Amino acid sequence: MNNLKPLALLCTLFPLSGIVLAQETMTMPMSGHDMAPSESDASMKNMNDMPGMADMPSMDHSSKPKLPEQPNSPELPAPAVGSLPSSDGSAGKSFHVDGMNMDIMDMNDDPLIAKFMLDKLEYVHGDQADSLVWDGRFRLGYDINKLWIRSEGQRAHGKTQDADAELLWGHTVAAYWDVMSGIRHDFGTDPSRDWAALGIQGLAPYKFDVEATAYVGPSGRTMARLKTSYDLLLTQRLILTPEVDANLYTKEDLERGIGAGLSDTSLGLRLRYEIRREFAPYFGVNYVQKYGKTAALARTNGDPAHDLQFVAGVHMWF
Amino acid sequence: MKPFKNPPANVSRRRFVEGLAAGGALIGVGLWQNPAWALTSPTQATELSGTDFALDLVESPVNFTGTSRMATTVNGQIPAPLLRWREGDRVTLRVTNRMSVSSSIHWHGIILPTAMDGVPGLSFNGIAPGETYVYQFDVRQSGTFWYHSHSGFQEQTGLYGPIVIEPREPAPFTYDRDYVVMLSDWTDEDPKQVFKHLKQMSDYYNYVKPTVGDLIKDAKQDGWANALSTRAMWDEMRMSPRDLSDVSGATYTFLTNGITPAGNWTGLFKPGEKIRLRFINGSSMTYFDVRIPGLQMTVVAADGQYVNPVSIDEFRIGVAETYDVIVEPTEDRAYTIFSQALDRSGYALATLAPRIGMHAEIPKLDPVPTLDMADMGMAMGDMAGMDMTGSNDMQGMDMKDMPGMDMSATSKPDTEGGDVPVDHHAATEFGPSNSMRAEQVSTRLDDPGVGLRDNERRVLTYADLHTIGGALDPRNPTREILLHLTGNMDKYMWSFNGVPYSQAEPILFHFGERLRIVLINDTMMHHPIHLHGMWSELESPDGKFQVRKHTITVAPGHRVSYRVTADARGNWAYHCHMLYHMEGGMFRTVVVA
Repeated sequence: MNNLKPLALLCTLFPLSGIVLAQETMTMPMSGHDMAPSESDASMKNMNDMPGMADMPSMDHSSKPKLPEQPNSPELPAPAVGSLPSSDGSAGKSFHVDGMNMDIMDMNDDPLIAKFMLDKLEYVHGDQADSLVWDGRFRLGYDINKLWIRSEGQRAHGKTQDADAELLWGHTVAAYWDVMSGIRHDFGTDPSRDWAALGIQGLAPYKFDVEATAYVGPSGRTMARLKTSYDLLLTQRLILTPEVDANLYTKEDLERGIGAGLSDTSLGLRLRYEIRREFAPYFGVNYVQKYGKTAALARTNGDPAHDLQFVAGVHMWF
Repeated sequence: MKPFKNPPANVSRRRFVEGLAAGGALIGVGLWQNPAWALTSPTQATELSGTDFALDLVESPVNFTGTSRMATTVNGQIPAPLLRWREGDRVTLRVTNRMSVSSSIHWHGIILPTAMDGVPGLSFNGIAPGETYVYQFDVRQSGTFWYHSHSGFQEQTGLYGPIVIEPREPAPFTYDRDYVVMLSDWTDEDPKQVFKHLKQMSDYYNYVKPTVGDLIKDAKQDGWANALSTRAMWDEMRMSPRDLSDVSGATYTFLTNGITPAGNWTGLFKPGEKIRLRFINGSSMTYFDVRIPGLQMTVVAADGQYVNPVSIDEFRIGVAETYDVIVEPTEDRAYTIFSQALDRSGYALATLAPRIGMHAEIPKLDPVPTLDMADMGMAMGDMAGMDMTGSNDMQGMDMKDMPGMDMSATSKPDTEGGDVPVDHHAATEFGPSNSMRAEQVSTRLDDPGVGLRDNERRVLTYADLHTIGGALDPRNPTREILLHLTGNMDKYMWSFNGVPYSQAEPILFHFGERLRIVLINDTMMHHPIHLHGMWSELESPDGKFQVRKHTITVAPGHRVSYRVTADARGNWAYHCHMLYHMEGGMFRTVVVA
């Protein structure tokens, strides 16, 4: 660049002649666009009618217009927006063709993100023995593809009663919806069960969080689970969350105390206070109702078919 | 996992918002004297002038809130030293990276060869640790500009500073004093953590969401039926009329010239003097609404370019924009320069006073703005016009009953602009990376914007700005590039035309051509769009030259068009200047060939 200095001075002194001179002598030290001398002669001719040619390092380019036409000419009426040949500007070739290496910029618009969420970790007081209930999610992945672990269950008398864990691949198919597919394992005091899982997860219109999943077991059992909740902001930090969970089975499973059809629903109402986004203690009520054969099986075991529970716990994530 | 490090938990809320009275000044690295303004003196930042500059990129400790943090600085200062150049000079800037990570400096709004532009990966490799990069170029413009890092999140951690270029010809106005007023936002959090929070929960920093209390307030004003149906409508669209700022005062302390509100940077004057204030928005994510109660401001330059003077009470300054205003205080009293964040989550503060130590009243923050249907690109009285992913059923909504609608956006003659239908959306906009497509947008430049409409103050709009001397290139454009500003707010993805940067091809400008760029904002947020290396000449709705800028704000639900002369060969960055939007994918490379 130093060899251009005298030229720069000249251009500064004689802006117009400078442009001509620069156009005739320059070999344009621009990144990746150096022109061979033979080529430049031809292209320079074209550039005479290019007002833009001023962007050479050596040229005077004060903010005053210095174009072939008179600079302050009355403005020509411009064609209306949409009337010109249009494009999205795509160059149709990759960055690397022009020697670009965007990794250097340390930009990553799709980083690997992990999030561990304990939506519920609560102490439940109901007609039955008091218990500890969890409902958690872990996600690891990118904007479109993620690995999910979902688990919920309860513990009483020091034993895990009724629990399940799912390993799912979540793939975003629409702005607000992920398709979830994977496996589920039921465990606890009752015999364990395994399922293949397929469902959706996302934000429905009216801002309901929805998880709807269908499951198929190896013995031909099928079931479905629907969970939906809504956050009602009483204040920025005090949030009331109504919630509905429902389970449906196509076949009865006596060993686990489940009848065919709608087996049980749970209606919850929790009031949490976000001390910070990641940590919110709450309390609330939960009304669990069992239906049909499932209710009958529960009664046989001496358990109630419905139960009004009082809960207190924490909602947290990191 | 790191323990929670949210500033409000560590320090009292007041100290966090207003900052320390004297803690913002940097201790420096020992090589450099304390910045003069650390003494609350009326002087500007350390000023470097001439044609040869040595700038050291160093990590330095800072303390704005009571918590000590490492910042990325130039010569140990926030903001970086004021660089004073002269139009026509050839400047040489030796930038030495004394940090352990790669760095860069981009000269924002400066017309220069691509290799001097300072964007790593495009035309240079960045400045490696221990390396010195020599920037050298001719200064071919004058006015107020700024510089900042283009590497990672270094701009957020302090690497930004003002540039003042003295013109060769005297300015078309006079003044007695000249102050830079550089606004910025500081967080004690690691910016990578901020980005991670946004990806984990996009409304993590939003504490102005509509609540039941707001609903009751609306109901008292407009009746329950209206209030509920409005709320239901937004909820149905899975959107929030309070999606104003991704990153807010929940983590930011807002600075004026690197000084917290409690520190109260003061510029001195003698009553009757004319003061030129060079406002620069050097923040990473914050739009500021600026006013000086008791003083009228006369805007004389925008993005470094002289404009026909216009008298105003208030202006909104987008990220990376600059405005020069003249004020003329006649009374022997203090005046507050009050710069509130767009979402009213905090403010930056400074004082103009005849003597040090004076204060004027600090105004109350304005009410939190609420976006209306027009701001989201929805046709008035035509709910079917809005296309929402996963929900096309908008029957049963009666827009005429909606309160708070801005009826000013109905059709007007071309010269003023109005609502126009959006007739084209790229196929790429229909994927999961984009959650919203505007069907009707406003082309009006005279809309002061959400939160500033009808506030009984004279608010600057783009319609008021006319660059003196007209367009640089009188040719009409011959080609149009249509770009939609898009995103998926739920997943914190950002893009042009639904294509995030990592999946995008460069945009091709043919060397020498005059072209038009049309931007349509499909999102609910403001985006300041910055083209490197070339000027962006904004057009009025009827296609007349309006104002020359380097950064053009597009409000939600708006369309703007501007002309560009592709007179600079090479690779250039083109992006939203909201730092986390850029990092999130609202970035393209422009190739001029």
